[in-house]
Amino acid sequence: MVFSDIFFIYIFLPLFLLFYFAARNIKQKNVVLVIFSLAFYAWGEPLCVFLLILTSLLDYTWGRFIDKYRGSRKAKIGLACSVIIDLGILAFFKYRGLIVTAINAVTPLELTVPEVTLPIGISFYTFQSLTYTIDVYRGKAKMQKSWGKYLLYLSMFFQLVAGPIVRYSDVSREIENRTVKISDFSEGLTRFIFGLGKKVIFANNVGAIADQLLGFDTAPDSVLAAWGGVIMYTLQIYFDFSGYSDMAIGMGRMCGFHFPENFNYPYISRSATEFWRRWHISLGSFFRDYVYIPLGGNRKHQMLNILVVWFCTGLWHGANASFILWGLYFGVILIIEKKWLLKALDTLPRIIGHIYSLLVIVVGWTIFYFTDLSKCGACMKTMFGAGGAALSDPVTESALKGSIWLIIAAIILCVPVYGKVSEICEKGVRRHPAAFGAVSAVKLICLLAIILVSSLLLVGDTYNAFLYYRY
Amino acid sequence: MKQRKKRRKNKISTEKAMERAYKKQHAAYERAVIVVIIAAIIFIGLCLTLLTRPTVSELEKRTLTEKPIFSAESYFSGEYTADFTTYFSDTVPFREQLVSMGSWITSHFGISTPTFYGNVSVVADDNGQAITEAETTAVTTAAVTEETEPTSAEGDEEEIIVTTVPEVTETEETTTVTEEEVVGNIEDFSNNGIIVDGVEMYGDTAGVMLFGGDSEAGKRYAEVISAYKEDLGEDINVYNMVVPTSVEFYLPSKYSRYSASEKDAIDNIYSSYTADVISVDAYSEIAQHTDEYIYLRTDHHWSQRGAYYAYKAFAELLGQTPPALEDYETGTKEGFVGSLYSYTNDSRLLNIPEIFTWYKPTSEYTAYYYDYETLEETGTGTLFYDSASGSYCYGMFLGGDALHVKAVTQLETGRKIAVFKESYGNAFAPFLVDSFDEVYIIDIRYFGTNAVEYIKENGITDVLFINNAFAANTDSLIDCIEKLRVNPTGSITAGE
Repeated sequence: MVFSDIFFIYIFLPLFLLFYFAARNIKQKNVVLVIFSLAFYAWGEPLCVFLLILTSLLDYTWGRFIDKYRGSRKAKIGLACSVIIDLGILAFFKYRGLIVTAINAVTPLELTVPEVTLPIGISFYTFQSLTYTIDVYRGKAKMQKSWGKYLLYLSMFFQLVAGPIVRYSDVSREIENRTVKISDFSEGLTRFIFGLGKKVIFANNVGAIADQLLGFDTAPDSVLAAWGGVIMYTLQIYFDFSGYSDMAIGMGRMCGFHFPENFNYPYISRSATEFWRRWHISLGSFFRDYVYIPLGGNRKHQMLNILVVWFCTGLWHGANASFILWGLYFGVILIIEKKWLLKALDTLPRIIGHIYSLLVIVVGWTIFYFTDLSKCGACMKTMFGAGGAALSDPVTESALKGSIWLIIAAIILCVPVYGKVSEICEKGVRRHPAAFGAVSAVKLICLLAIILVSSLLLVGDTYNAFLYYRY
Repeated sequence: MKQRKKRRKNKISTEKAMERAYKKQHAAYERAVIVVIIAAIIFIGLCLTLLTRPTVSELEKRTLTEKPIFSAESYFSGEYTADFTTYFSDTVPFREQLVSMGSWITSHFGISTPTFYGNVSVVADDNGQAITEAETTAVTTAAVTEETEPTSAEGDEEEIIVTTVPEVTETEETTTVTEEEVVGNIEDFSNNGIIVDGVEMYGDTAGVMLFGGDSEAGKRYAEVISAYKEDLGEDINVYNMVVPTSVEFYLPSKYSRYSASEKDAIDNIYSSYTADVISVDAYSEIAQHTDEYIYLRTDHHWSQRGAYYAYKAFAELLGQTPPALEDYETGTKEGFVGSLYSYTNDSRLLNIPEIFTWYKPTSEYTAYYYDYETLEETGTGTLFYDSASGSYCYGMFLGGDALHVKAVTQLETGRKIAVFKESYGNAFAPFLVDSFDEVYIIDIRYFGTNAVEYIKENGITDVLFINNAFAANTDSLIDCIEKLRVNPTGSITAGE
């Protein structure tokens, strides 16, 4: 089940809310949340739901163990066990194929490469669980005495399958106690609908164009097809993933949780370094706090640390050479920026930084899009004018022209224009209270329109899986 | 001094009052959001659960996903929940209306422009010459790759699978068939996507299916038919007619690189026989009438008028004089929207419904219908299902693809013909009642016995293979024809 399923929006969610708000106290609410979360996960993973429960049981136990032997060697052993087992499970389910391929490549063995089916969200919840044991070890989080509550944290369906990667310490207080104000619920609902619109109206439709333009056999039909395709994908992945995060954060708010933000207008960055502070923030900060800094951060062998982190970031996205290449690509660029480029960019006009960043980002997504490296190479060649492809072609022209208003709107929404507009509205309304009714009515109608249009598009649409379900 | 203080105090208190009023208003707005949105969600949720769910989509020409049956096995394999989700969104009440509203919305995402659906690639140079053998072959294999999982669709029209049509109830006829296939399976075709708009036919905008072409498959098609000739021997004539489709005549030259030449594909087939097969040149006859309504604008089929010209070419080859068009009983059906809409959901096609014209031979005959698997007679009647309407209009010919029909005429020519066809043949076959004593109509995909035995047993003198250029360049359909030749006699296996 994905958040943008008709079934989810109109059946699962209202049923959940009904039970959740019918529950009288926090204990009951937590029980409702766990039951619905497990049902949500079991809907997609009827068997692997037990793996999730097992992970929660293990890390809950390691948490108690670490807490009990705090300060002694045993605590360290407990932490090591937790990390090794979690990553081991992840490796088994996600990297089994890659590992066997690698073994075959360097040894004379010829093992059969296993078919790997990835349990949904395993990359996300494994990392979430790790934040718990590590933070308990570090003393940054209190040990959770109740397994039920730990299961609640890990299985919470809002962010279970595609992030944001919510740390245990972010929500530990709200698991114990939380209140939902009218404004929380209303803002959460608004956020959910915005996320739905981002996903269904924007991501799905620009994504279809990207697939059409990049679905070539040997090379893109024209330079415009290559650039158009990767730019549409650039838009798609932002609207898809940030839309999902919005829906997750919104539903969290509706139930009194405050999840950290995951996106902050990444495409207005002026460097790749800045981009990674604005894109998938919860993943970047995870790697910063749990990998980069423990490795020595910027105190010792910083360059190596950066490369390790980015190798891991790439690998986290998938057991595939192109993801690793994509990670290392950013690793190298970040090193170059740290060493020289950031200083240079500071002295140049802002626009240069923007253009440079967008170029780096778009090329990055080109590597990311193609699982087939030879196609990726062919696309890049065409993008940068090698190979003598035509400038444009009728299919691309009609695809872009046929959705031009949508594309323009998408580009505008990539910059913080909505925040500005609502700020102006609010100021105006404070000065002229009479206008409040009209402004509110417009806002409300927009919300209704987004949910209705999204639903209409979903009825005829089969192109709907979230991109980040793959990771 | 005092006054100023007072004024300031006043100002502060009005500001406070305004702030309070604003907060109050804002709280009211927040409540309104919750009430309105939740009410909408609950209302729609109730509609989704309580209203009757459709089981077929007429416009999309397919049965909708059925509600899965729960079992522990299907649950634990994840199949049940996946199927249920598909079922739930596939059978939304008022689906057709909602889908067309959705496609109306997407049509306003940009400037109206010719739209390409599917993975359209360059398959020819600007003169329609195939670029390189390797490239065209790659294209067609990609285009016909079978996708078994309907939920994995990526906006490709290749994904539409089953095209079963509900009952065409017939009052004057005694046939008792309940389900037929009206449009072929799009996966069966060596297509290169579909273009909607940007093509004009008979003064209106239209859609056409782009031809991928596969000359290797074409050669094989010729060989497979030659094998029939070899099996059937000297005394039985084997004819082969490959029919061009609308893309050949109506695609503007600026798009010609997206569609291979059907003329070349037909010539390739006609020059690749390994036995004495007689080619029927329908192409030249059809090409003379392209300003007449010989193809459907919203469908991948030809109109019956187009089929008539193909029949004319065949009759003349046989040395006969076919009846003139005016000699047929004719009539029209309105509001036809064809398969290209089913594949694309492009609202522009919905907005240009066609007038569907039919021609019925006036000579006397009786049509016997048979179950295509068991070959048991199921009823008698005519070759036309008059009640077919709306997007099922093409199903009026023979009641769709899957029926095996024999027409017995009053003629005494001493000649009996067996027609092996896909859906293009449906509109064509009825004309043959003016040329043969008996007409056996067999769909290459649906026939449960050995075709060679069947032909010999029934004393058939002439065999005609009639297929459109796509089908004659598509391996899976060629496989069907080959299978019919080698099928064990009496085997109850359909072509596919």
